[in-house]
Amino acid sequence: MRPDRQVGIVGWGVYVPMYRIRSEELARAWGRDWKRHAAGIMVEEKSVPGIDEDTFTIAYEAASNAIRRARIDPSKINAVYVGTESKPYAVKPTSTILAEALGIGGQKRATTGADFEFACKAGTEAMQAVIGLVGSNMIDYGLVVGADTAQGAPGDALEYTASSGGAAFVIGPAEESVAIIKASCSYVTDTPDFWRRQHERYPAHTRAFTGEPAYFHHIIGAARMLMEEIGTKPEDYDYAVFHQPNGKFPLRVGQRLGFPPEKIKPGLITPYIGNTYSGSSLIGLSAILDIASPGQRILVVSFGSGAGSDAFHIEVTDKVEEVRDLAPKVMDYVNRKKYVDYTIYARNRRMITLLKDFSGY
Amino acid sequence: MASIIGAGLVKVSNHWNMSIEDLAYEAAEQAMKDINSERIDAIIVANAFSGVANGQENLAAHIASSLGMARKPSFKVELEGASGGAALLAACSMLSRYERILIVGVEKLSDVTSLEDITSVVSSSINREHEGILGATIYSHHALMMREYMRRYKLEERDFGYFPIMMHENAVNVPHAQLRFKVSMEDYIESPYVSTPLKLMDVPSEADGAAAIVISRSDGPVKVSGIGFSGNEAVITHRIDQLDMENITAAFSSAMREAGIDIKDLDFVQIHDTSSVLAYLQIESLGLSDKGKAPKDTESGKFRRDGEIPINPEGGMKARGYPVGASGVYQLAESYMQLQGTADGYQVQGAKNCAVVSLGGLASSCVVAVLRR
Repeated sequence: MRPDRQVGIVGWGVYVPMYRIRSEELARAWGRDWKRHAAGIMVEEKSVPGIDEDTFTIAYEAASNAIRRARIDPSKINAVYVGTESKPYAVKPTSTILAEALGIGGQKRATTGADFEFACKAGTEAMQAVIGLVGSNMIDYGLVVGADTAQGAPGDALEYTASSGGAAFVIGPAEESVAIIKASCSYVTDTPDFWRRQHERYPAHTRAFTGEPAYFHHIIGAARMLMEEIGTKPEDYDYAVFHQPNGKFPLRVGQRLGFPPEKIKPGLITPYIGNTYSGSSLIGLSAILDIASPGQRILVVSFGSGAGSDAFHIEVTDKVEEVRDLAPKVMDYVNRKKYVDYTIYARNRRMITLLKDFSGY
Repeated sequence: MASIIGAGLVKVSNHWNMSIEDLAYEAAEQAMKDINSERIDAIIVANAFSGVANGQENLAAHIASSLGMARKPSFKVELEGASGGAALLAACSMLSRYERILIVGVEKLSDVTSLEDITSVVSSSINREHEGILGATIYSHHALMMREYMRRYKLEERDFGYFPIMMHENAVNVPHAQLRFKVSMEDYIESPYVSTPLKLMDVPSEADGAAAIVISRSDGPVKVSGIGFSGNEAVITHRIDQLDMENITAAFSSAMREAGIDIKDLDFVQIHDTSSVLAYLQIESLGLSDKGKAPKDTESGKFRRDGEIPINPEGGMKARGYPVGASGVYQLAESYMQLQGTADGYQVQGAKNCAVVSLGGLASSCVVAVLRR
């Protein structure tokens, strides 16, 4: 898919909470030997939100960084879409809190706003929507956020990876962009690999079914669809970012599509912070923008359970170097860390239910 | 005298896009490719868990219908892992009435999506009232036997690694095998416990699969020369000796006697290796090793595909895969191919005679079939 007017990323920003829990500590809490049990998924530690952090605060920090790099007044932004599966409110948009807090749409609050849900690809889905709005000249700038404080049931395999963090992008006209989104495509099927029903605290998943018929099928499907549509090959890309539910899958899907590890590893952040769900592939893209040179090409393919993938062909412009240092980079957040044990983790994730909640909730 | 005149099998895998009927259909079509389905007189389905795993009972009628054979007599035989062996016994016993009988073994476990549910399904073979209620699972039972075997013969955990290592090695070139990769002793030692001291690499992973054979009253390329069936106390705590597998010895002897051949005449043996310890106990009960010596003999290479007496040349339940109720039919279909010389990737050169052991529960049922070219 290509819009009438070329659009691109005007500014990018991320945020990752500072707390970390080691996979070894998670295994210890359940009487398991980490090396035997789950070292194969290649996630050493994951981020843990502070007790007062949620998807909104993460989105706010990431969006502030994106706006800093975009060097525009937030009042010029007329769309704010937050992609998440861990909304602070089940009913009440996170996007309206964000619009108000950042001054989006100016005094009149002349902005569209909505929360998107599509498991781990809600953020890229929101990006597709904003590409449409800017690309059709309805607006000049739109803000896209992918952020989560992902849930993994205590003791479940997901507990090793479900983490917190987010990325934000100001999408605008190609002339002002640090990276032009030349083309995109989306692919969805009705595949029940992972879900969380209304009022349930933790998601359910179908073990091995989440791999081949879900992750691999959709990412490969969308990536091939895009490359076929625009006539590119893996060799035409300098970097590839795939959704990263763990450290292993992106390398394996890359291998099957023909992307060597050295094109994937610079954007592979999950091994250090876990899977930030809606933030996952977008934090990976941000890590590439932190280091990419003008003229380089990036393939981004997200994956969301349920299931589907969005693929983007992105070309970096020379503006990238001017704005890169205006906000903290992905690795700055990755390296800013403080370890917590399972007790603090359980408290911060509100897994311990008190008779009376003293935390103010 | 019964003969096998056709065989078919589906790759053992997680067949997400195939139903239990689809799987059965594919295996049956392959088995009948040179036989007009109108010449089939009856259908026996071997399956263990269609009720609990797929919510499908009356399974044989549905499979017969999907094969366009709704009017033929059909029924299901269920004896957990020994369903396939029991189906063979039933078919051979029915040949006075029906000339040709199709046996379809099928299992589809990937319809069960949570780990808790799958453990519950595969543990339904132990006694719910006496064992399951106390929290026992099929794995904890294997673990108890392994512990006792280790104690009695002064063995270490690594002694149990030799068998799965051999199975994985055998399966590498088997087209229809589930786990076609080699494992090392280091992999075995580091594999997580399922139920201490039983490791993940001691047991098969759950799988979907289907296999089929056609049994005929008239002479065919592979003969079913002998069948033996012997049971054991089904609740293992009711057994006087936990490691008592005398019934395997009994079933094997009677099948061999009926076939009129000696153990030295066997070119390979297929056993029901749902854990390394159960494999060792079978090897010893069949008289292929002395008591407590099966690990050492396995290490020595005696049972390799090119060894003195090959065991599970196709990789066994461990690596070819374990579609429970279908597993016995897989063994028979594979042996049929072996004796025909068409077992590409796992052929035992010049094989003429073999024995197939099919177990239900923890050897509470044992069916042994002797096949000859």
